[in-house]
Amino acid sequence: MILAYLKIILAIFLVWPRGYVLIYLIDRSKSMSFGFKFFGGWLLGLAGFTLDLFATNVFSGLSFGPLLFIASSITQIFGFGLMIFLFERRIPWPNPKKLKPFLIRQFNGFLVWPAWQKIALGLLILSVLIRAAASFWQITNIPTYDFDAWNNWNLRAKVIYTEKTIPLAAGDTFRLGGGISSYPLNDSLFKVWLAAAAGGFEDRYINLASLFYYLILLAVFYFSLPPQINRGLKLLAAYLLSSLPLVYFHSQVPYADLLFSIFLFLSVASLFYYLAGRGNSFYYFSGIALAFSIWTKNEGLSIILPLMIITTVTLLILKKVQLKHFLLSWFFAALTIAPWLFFRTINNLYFLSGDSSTFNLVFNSQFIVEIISSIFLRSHFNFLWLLVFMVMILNFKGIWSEFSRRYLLITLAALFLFYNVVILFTDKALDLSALARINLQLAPLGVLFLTFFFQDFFAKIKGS
Amino acid sequence: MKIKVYIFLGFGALLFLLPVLTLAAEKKIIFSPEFLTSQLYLNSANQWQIFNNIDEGLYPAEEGLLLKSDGDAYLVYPFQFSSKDYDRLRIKFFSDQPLAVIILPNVFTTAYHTFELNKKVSATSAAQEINFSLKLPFFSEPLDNLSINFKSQPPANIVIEEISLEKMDSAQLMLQAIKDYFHVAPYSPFSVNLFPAPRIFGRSALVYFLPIILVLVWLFLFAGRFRKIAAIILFGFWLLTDLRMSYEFFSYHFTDYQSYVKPPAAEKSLRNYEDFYQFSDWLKNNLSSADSAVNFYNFGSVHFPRLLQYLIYPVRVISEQPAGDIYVIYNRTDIVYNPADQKLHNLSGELSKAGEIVASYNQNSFIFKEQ
Repeated sequence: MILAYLKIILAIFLVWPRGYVLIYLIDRSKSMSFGFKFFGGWLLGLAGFTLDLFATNVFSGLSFGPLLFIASSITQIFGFGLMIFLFERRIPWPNPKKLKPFLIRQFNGFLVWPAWQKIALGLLILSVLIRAAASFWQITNIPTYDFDAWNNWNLRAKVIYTEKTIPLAAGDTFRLGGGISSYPLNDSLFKVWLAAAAGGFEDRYINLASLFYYLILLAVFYFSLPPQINRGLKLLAAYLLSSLPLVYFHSQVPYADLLFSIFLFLSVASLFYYLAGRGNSFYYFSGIALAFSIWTKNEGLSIILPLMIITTVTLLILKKVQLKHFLLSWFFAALTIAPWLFFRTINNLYFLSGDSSTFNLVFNSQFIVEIISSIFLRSHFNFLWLLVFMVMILNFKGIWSEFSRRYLLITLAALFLFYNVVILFTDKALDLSALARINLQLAPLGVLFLTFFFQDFFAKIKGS
Repeated sequence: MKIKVYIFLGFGALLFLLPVLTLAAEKKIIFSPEFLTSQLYLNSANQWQIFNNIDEGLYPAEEGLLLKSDGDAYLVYPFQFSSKDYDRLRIKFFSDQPLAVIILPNVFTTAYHTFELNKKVSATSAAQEINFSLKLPFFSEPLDNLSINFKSQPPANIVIEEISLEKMDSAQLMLQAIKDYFHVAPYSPFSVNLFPAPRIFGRSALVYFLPIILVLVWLFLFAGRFRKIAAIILFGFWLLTDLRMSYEFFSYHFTDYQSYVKPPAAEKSLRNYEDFYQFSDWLKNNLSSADSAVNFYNFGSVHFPRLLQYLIYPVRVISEQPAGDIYVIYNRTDIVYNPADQKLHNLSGELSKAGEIVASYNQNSFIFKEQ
């Protein structure tokens, strides 16, 4: 059993190099921190790997086996490596000799932290470890229980793993793995990979994916914050995110919402960082993260894509971005997600939540109280959204005065409104089962908004 | 200056202690051997009734009255009251079987129910007392009747000594609020989306903290003098909620450990799917490798056919349709094997062709194979 877990850890590490090379390639303005590239690259590696598995399988018929897994985990490294060579005229081979000095540098840097920050870091790590240990126990002892897990995400993984291919026959109950066949396969194919690594499809192995998503969300959030943010505030923000009940809860729930929330966060936050002057790299990274959000859940296609089109076109009109970068970014994003979009277009897959592409406008007045109660008063998000909206309303002028903050405010408010308007004004609300979960997807952005608000707020107080 | 502080602290302590100093709670006995034989009760139009049970009588036994429950008996009292009159229900009883005691206000009409009105009790030979807070939205308007449902797997002998209604005093209300806050809702198939905790008096607990939070945020933003203390208290609230919700999750883990991880295989039960995972494991072990599809007939959750599909894939699960020659029956008392014609029968007649039961999970769950 321990060997199986070691194999899973190895499998998770194997998708990292291709992602790191890609993010290294994206970071032409050299404005990303190593930590951000390390963890952000991991996510790109994961999603790129599963997308390659999908494309190779459905377009070439190569079944899931060692050849496909190895090819998908390493081939792109050479392609991206070549592109890096064209840019830099050198190959950035990993240099093990640099590792030790790097670690010593980090350790020495830590030693000069004020004592209270060391304690805060220790407490943060301890609390995350306790949560992670509890989730690990839950995952490894309790079988798949939650509806969409056995009805969709895990079912599709199991079917594909068992068949060693993605079933494509029209009319087959298990077409594209069964479940809700219009949903993208990022999460399910990652689970296929974990099952293959562990040597068998068992809930206790494949459901560890959710715990991995939770930990990497925290890491990528923390390292995405720029150096000018006070370290204490960074630690506080990471704690706030780690302790959001529904976010933490999903570290033990085998759904794809957490994975989707990471790509949504990366896409919106990277554009924010670009507007805050952190370089073009973030602008391009935003596009790639958007592409992978589309590869993770249908909300990426039906909600995030239209919003990002409107946002980037507006930025172009406002001359906040050059036409060249605008076109190139969209080109790379389209290229990234092309296999999935091409496949879903020729197969007429639905693009809304569930197996549907249509909706009727209705007014679900009976849901108003439920929506307010669920988001603001039920502790799914502690009192995050109360804080966010109070800050937005009470400090609107201050936030509005700075362009990047204005962008974050508008995007967050627009996403929040759009997500909940779908529940309130369409017949897609069903039994409200998705209500809290879709707001969970926005939670990392909510914490990001508060982090920058506090940074600006304290800076203003100090300055006055 | 110091005197002012002492006066302030004195008033604070007085306000805090005031509820404790109020008079004892008002109590009304609505069920006891003495009460049920009193002239007041006998002349009253409101009489206790027993529903959904073959035996509708109550028999004198030891200190109380014996109810011979078939496993799902309802004891109903047509008594008009609201939580303004009484807000706590106390039941003193014992049972020879483990029970779930469920309170249902207005059982014949709305029969509203929440997890706060459901308590599991173990079998005992001495009387035990359980309390239900009626400080819930359902009880804010006058009720027509109050129902107590006793659920048990096998039939149970329940001796009820006393049922009473009480009005809680301020201190008891405060204590009840704290109890409510830490009362964990059971994990259901919808917990993944909307876990219903924490609550106080049937409403989201944050409702009660909301005004304080709003004031604190305002102070933090606009009152420099109170900024630090406001920030500390806000963080305290966050921490408290974090701890409360962590307690919720650890409770889930602990419940899962007690009901699913710790017990031996035959006694494992997972949340409201009970032994279904054990059944599916048993099924996997008893299907032959040549079996590619099963006709599945189940009792219980509507999710079982789809869940079973996930659990036993690549075997295909066809729900409630005789599409293949293998029948998997799970907890269906209405589907029986008739040895005379070797067929399965249900209430509408023959269900299968002739065959045999190849393996049995329990009396009502088995695998049947047509010849």
